[in-house]
Amino acid sequence: MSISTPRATGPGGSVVTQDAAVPDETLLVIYARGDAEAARELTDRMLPRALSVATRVLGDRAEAEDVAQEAMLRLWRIAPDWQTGQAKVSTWLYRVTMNLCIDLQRKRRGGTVALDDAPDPADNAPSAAEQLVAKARSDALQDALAQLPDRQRQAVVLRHLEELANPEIAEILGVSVEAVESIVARGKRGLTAALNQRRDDLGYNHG
Amino acid sequence: MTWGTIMADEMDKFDGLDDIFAVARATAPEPTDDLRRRVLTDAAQVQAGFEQLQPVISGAVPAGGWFRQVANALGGWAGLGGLATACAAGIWIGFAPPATWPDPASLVIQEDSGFDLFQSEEMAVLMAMGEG
Repeated sequence: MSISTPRATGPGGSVVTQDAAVPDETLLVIYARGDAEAARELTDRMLPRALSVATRVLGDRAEAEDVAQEAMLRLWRIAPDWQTGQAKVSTWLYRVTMNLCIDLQRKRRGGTVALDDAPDPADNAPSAAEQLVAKARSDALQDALAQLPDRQRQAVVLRHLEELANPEIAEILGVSVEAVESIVARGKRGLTAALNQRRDDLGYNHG
Repeated sequence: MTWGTIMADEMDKFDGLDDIFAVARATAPEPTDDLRRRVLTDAAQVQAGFEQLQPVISGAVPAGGWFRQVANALGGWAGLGGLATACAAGIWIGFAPPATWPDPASLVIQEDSGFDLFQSEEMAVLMAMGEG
């Protein structure tokens, strides 16, 4: 992959940061030097990831937003000390997000979990039935994820929703690649068992 | 074949999991404008702190003049603090010495001394004789 060199930043902080070829960690260095545009580009790239995993792991949109904001805040703070070449920015952010989720789950152990934060589908639309099925399946997955042990839920989310490779998941969770494979397999079995009971509700026929 | 294996095989018959994962990926939560604004506000505030620290971080130009150099030579702020404490103690001892120590102020002022450095009475007599 060719990596273009970003333009030098001026006092106004103008730089070509929207080029997808500019690596995340280069953007982080540019941000640390005072470029506001780099912050916007990094937010566009990183915030959806942090929010996505936090929402899936926590099952609560408001809490997930707070966690995603905190994870991004920690990214901003570490920018001047970022060691280039050590880890991918996205891997670092996933790890911080997961740790924040774990901390939050420990604090709220025994509390209730809000599961239905997905927006309602538009009514009277031609694809309303399809949207209802999609929402039902998405909600069912969220319910099933909530029943998994924390580690399995995190591993399944990273593997099958964020579509990360096992070595990166291992780095995020701090376990071996073999352990990731085992955890994901157990998580999928748990999901299958939970979803199997709602097969008819979700529009799947026996066979 | 064990019961666990049978159960696992039965569970694996549910083949909609990949489909459900795909649906979930397609409906991933998107950041709201409000969340994005909060994150960018944080970014700007943290960045402002970097700009204030920039000369220290870069280390290109040592900050401060002769005072900073002297302070560094004395061990930085910790060294200066010790020096200031020692000076303050010296001044205090000068004005209020322990009872077992001679009072340096009385040595200078000599109000209570019985020794008349200029022997003022004899001087007055000699001056009177000279006038007379």
